[in-house]
Amino acid sequence: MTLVLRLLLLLLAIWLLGKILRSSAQKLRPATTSLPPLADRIDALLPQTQCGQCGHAGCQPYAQALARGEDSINRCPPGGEDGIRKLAALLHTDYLPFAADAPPPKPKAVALIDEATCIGCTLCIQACPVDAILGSAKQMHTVLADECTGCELCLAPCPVDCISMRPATSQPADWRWGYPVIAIKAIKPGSST
Amino acid sequence: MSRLSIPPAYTAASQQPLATLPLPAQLNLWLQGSRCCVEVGQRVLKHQLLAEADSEFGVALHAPTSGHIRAIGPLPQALPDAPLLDGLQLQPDGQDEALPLQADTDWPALSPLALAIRLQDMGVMGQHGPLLPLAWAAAAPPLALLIINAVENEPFLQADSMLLREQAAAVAEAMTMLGRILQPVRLVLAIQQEQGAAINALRSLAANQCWQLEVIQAPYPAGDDAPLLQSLARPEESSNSLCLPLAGVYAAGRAILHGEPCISRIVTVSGAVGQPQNILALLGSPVADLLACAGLPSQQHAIVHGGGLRGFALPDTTIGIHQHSHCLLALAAQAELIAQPCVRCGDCASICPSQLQPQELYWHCSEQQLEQAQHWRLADCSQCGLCSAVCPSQLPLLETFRQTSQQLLLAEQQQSATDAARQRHRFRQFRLERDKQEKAQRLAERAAQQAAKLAQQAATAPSQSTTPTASAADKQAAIAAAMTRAAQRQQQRPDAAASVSSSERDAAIAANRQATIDAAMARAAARKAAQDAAKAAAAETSADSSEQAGLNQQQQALIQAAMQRANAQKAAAASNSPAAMDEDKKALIAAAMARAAAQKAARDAGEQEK
Repeated sequence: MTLVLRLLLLLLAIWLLGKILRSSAQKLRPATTSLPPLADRIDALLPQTQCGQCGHAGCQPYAQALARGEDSINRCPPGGEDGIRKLAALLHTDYLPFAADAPPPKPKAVALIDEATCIGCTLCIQACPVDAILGSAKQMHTVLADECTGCELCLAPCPVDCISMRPATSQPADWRWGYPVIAIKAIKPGSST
Repeated sequence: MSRLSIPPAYTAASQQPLATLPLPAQLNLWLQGSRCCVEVGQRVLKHQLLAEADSEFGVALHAPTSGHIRAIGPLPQALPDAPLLDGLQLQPDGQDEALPLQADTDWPALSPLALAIRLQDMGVMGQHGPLLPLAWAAAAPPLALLIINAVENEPFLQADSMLLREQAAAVAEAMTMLGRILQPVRLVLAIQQEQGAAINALRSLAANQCWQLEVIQAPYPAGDDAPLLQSLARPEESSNSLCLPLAGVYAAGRAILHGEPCISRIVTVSGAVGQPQNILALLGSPVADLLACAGLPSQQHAIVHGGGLRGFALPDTTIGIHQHSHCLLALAAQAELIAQPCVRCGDCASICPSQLQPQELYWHCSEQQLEQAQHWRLADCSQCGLCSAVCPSQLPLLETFRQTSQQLLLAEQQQSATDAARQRHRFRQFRLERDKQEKAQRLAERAAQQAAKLAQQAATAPSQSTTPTASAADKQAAIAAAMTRAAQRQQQRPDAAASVSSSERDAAIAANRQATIDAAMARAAARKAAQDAAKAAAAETSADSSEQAGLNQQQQALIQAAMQRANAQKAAAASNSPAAMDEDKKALIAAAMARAAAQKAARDAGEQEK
């Protein structure tokens, strides 16, 4: 009789322990943070130039194609090699060199409208994916340099070819600390200019 | 600076009286955020405006002496690697002919914003841009604590001490002026224990003034703005306090009280020069002239711009000094020292004022692991350079942290620009879609209005308009009926063909397709006919249903209206002129006969009545 009682007690203890463990496991489980959809996470890594050099109509469609696995990660020249590495890390794939048929990456440039030549046709305004061109019909147009992504989509529609791409001019704000080296140079006393 | 031997005589320059630099042969000025308003070859007078501020962060530039403008364009500037940035070369003519100075007599009435703008126009610089940040002055928050920072605890710096010793009265005047305009609750001049002579010069002036003297005893980098604010501001003051550099405050006093723009500054020239001293030099004076004035021996030297810990080497000595050039050092270089591997001595960690682990940070920064560097709190590094100075392995810690911090900043800026571009693109897509919908809605509304107008016309003038409308509607209905008949005939024909050539599969498929197309066409034609008939009926009776009609129906209504108008015009033309057109000759004749008959009837009736 005592043996049966002991067994029953043991079973009860095991059942209770199981209950406690289960409830504590539910309570202590780390909150699963729901990640945004994969296409959005890919879109966050793309440079948002909306240039269409990847063959899609913008960065978001390319991100969606990548998320569906329909395109390769090496088709975004403005993103550069860094961009490919980031995409590879996110998608758990290998790094790929740039696609042979993709245009080569270029240094960032800003569109500049030659305002004397502009006839005010508004075609470039319609082409700009980020609304960085100001102007109205038969009025001179101009590019907001801060908003221009350098996508070059405004070059083709211009009937008078008055838009050119200019690299950013050197400003005091563009100056960067270089590689840590101190140059030492022999100078003569009193040597000026 | 870890690779260069730093001589112990940090304060040697303070032993000598203030020297004045002889007029250099050429002044190389830096257009820092300002737009040039003179031309090459133009003669300018001392204090004349050379460039005006073109942004919130720029300051104006004035001619330090009279002379001719030799060049405007890219010149090497006082930054590491001496990048070519926009500058201006002034060749002095030695006459030092000055514009008359106009002092502000009404300065007590200036608002903080007006003061900030006046200082920007006078070319007085603070740490970044104008002495008083314009955005801060425009917001004009109540100022609890204003600190004038005269602490110099970086090795070699003596310029502020010399300024206090030489111009104590002018500095006191400037502080009184700032206190009166900015109205801080507390105005403090912070100075260091070691600056003994300067303290003595100020003690006599500090009595009965709106400002007080605060002597700092903590070691370097306690004299930087952030630690100074932390140590001097009470908890309730910390959010609205401001720290200004002494040289800027002195220049502000000269500018507001005497109308003199900022054209010179005191520079400490020290290190391995013949006579370390403080030199009053015009802005734009070449570094080589200052070094020559202090007597530079002919040895290999690194010319360092800035203090002993944070300075950077200048590759070019023709560079002109600017408002932040407080110190020039000629440091004798030791034999080339190569950075050794980190030995984990921990000296950098124990000396770091921000309590960071520079050896860990260095590891991640040199590997360009920005996320790890952030994790090890690179953002908290004040870049004081102490870790570099104590490192036994000569690791370029400070230089690495500077570069990586800037990269982090750059990455942040790029990310925000990317986010802005994404937002703009999304908004553009939204805008285009919205415009499209609005346009469709507008068209629909206009068509509905037209239809309503048409219905009204039909209701008001039934005798004139119903007949042509009815005839047009009849004609359209007849055309539709004919088309339907033709379509039915076409439909029957391929069916027969298909039944005959049922043996050939391809032909059957083709025929089937043809049949479906024809059937669709017939259906469309029938639908159109039905619509036309319905419309004609609606136009004849009332325009109840026309408002609900779709775009196609409305277009047809418009066409009908146009036809109706044309018919009405034709009818009018026909009634006016007897010479009728060929096609509606019959109608005209009929109308004329009808009119004649009516006239005749009327005449007959009149005669009968008579």
